[in-house]
Amino acid sequence: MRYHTLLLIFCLYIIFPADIYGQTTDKGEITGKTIDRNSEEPLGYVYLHLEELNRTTTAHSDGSFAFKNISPGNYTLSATRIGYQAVSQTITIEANETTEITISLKPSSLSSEAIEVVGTTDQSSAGSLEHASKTIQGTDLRQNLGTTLSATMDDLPGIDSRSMGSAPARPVIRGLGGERVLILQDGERTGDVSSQSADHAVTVDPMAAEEIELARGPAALEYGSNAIGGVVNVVRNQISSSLPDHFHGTASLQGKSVNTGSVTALNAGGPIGNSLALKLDGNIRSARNIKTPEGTLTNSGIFSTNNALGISYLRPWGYAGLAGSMYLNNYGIPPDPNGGHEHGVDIEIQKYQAEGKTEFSLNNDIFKSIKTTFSHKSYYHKEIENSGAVGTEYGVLTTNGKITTQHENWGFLDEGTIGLWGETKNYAVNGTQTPNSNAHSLAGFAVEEKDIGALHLEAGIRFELTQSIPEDEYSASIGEIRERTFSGLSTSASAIYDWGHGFFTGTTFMHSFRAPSQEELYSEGPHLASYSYEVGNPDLNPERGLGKELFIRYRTTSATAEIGVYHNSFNSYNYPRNTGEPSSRFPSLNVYQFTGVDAVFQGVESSYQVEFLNNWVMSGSFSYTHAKRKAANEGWHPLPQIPPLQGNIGLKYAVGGFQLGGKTTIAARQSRTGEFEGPTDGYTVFNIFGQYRLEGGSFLHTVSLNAENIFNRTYRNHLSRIKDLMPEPGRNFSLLYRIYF
Amino acid sequence: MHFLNLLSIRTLLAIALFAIFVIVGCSNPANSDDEDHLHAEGAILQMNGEEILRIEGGEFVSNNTSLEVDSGDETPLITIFFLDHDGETFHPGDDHYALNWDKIDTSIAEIEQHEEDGKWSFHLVGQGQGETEVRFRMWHEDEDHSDFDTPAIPVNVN
Repeated sequence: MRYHTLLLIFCLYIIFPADIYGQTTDKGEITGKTIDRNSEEPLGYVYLHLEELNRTTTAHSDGSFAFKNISPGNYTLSATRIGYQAVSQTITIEANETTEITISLKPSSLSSEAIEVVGTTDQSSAGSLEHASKTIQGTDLRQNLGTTLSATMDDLPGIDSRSMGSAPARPVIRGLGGERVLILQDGERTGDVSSQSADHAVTVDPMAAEEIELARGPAALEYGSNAIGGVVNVVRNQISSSLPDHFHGTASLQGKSVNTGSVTALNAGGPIGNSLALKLDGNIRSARNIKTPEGTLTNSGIFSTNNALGISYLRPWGYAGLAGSMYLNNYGIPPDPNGGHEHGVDIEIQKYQAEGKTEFSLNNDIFKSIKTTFSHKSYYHKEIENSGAVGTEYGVLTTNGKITTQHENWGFLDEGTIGLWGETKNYAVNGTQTPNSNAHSLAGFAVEEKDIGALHLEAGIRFELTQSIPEDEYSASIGEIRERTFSGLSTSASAIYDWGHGFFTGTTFMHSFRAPSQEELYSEGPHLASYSYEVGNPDLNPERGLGKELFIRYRTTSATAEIGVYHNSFNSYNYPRNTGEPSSRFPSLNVYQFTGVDAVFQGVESSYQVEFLNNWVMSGSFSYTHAKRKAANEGWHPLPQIPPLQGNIGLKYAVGGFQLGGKTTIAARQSRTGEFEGPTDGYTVFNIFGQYRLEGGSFLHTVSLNAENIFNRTYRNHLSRIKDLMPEPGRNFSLLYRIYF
Repeated sequence: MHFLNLLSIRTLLAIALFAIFVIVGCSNPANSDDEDHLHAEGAILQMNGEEILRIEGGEFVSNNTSLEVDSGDETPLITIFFLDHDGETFHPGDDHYALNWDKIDTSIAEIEQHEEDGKWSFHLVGQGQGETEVRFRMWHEDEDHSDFDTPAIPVNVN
């Protein structure tokens, strides 16, 4: 009944928005053209982003583009395109007028992340570095496109992949994983159980990503109070926020040799009449068992499909849109004769999602817009033993709602976002003693920005209340199963100072709050696929973290460099601790007890890119995390699953639409291991890659060829739960063809 | 007319939203009404009314840690009892449970059950000299999974 009431309110909201927010006139327009700075020829397929309104469009093949129905005011228009430096431009929109602009982009060999920021330094504004975020897009996204989101991101310094075979992998940022890294798709939580266990896949396919963003600090507080590791947002734009003036999109085909894998994908969007925009994307992925230098990794195949359809209704007052999506994934967990299942486990995931978004422009000097989002996700997965018996089933129903307003020049604040967020989650597990339970969360947040000369300031605050309610209250062997209520305040502040000549210094503080999840509180039962018998703790305290970060950046049109140090300390860091004791009910599985300990994560990371001799780019990065937990009366001990010291060095040659390069990844031995965890040897792995793009007619063709682990070296990922069974994949050739239209 | 057009578009959007929600569903697919799992924490094997093997906390705590039988012969009736949290023996009292076993090499030994002996009793039959092992499981038949496993018990066929 609760769902239906919310649904009814939302539908009424969609039907009568113009009557509530009656202003529909006094709008302006932007029309323009994108050109190549060197040749002054029109440049097509440029991705344009009107940042304050979060509206996007893609330029026609003749370089023309338009944004309509824009409230008067100042806006930032950013433009990115494969093989070109990104640029940002401030535009003033007047009522009932059309603003015409020409955007000139300069060819570049640097990676997309670097060129985006290099472009904005032309404005000499520290504000352009807001949120201290990183973005993977364009050339980098195609070059690094892996089977999983995690594999696509793990070239960034400080990001590693917790994995367990081909499909289940989740990003670990600066040693922090699980719920400390929030994964979003188009700003919405995924509603899966990937944060809970290593064998659970993230229900986002990287093939659908237009770009992948990473945010830390104050900006993360809009999405959760627990994301001290960071927020990963996969931008898919299922609901168009602006009316495209033509149909455009991409079609992709990728093949891999190491697992005889293939992916086919289509992403397209366009207008229907004068006020509706349609967006659809879909992909099918299949792969057989992974080949390693020591043999084939049994039962590591994958077959998945991820499809979405979105429709938006766009009017001068803003837009309202709906989207539905489906994610199906069947994959295998390799067998472990010593770990509880000698024949492996098959996992079948189904996720169906519905979401709605609205944005209303306000004719107000301070408050510019009101946005609402509403989503409902039904997630289910079952783990099937070799005999065909269903071992464990997980079901999660998640409903989220959020309302935000964006403002400008309010008191001494330049701009900011204020909002309310709510979530209700129904969690059920079959095949264990874990009781069904509900969790309800409510939060209020504000993220504000201020520029004082060369100093850019950001601050965020979020108060969150969470209530976990089991269906029955009783005395269990793990403790008193009962309702728990948690509330806490999270805060964050960030300051970036522009010293000029490309030098920036910044610092970020974050105080995080994380209520124990339902699985951490109430779990009790076997989990064959992750080789564990999980035991929750109904008495767990909320996790509180204090993060500090200091960094120095240097960015010019021909070089970028950054070094940062961080220190994250936790009070009651909640994690499943391997007790080393066999379960009394399932002796082949060790007991993993959820426990809260004091913990400290500290480290350093650095990256650089230098362009030389016009066509050559040298790049590199390294990262190191030192993590420890405090044991009662035993001092400090290493935490498990912490990445080793590692880095990479790359060299790239780029001319016109052609790129060729190589990259060497080096990792040191990890001997600081947690309880019952073995060390992992260091390794050096060599990769080479080539890319070519060709513009012809109304299409932009791109081809990416990668050769990974070219010497078929045996190496192991310390964060792989199956590293003792098999090493990482052997030599792999992958080919990605993507056509933009 | 213009208002009607707008209204119809928005109504279509609302209907589409309803349709999506109906497809997505509002009931948890993993919710099961039959959630009465039994919680065994150990087991004992009795032969002729005498305890021959005891398992607590996932480990053997009896002096004897294996089963023996001669090739071509069968043991007297062996009955498995489960131990609850307080160490009391029990048999699942409903029809939803049965004894299940795996890991055994049937060319060396087999587990044989007779209906008249009850579903928690069995004979171990020696098929050929050698060593194998057997794991007994309290099988939850409705849910098609085990609610309790013994460790793998060594089996010697002389």
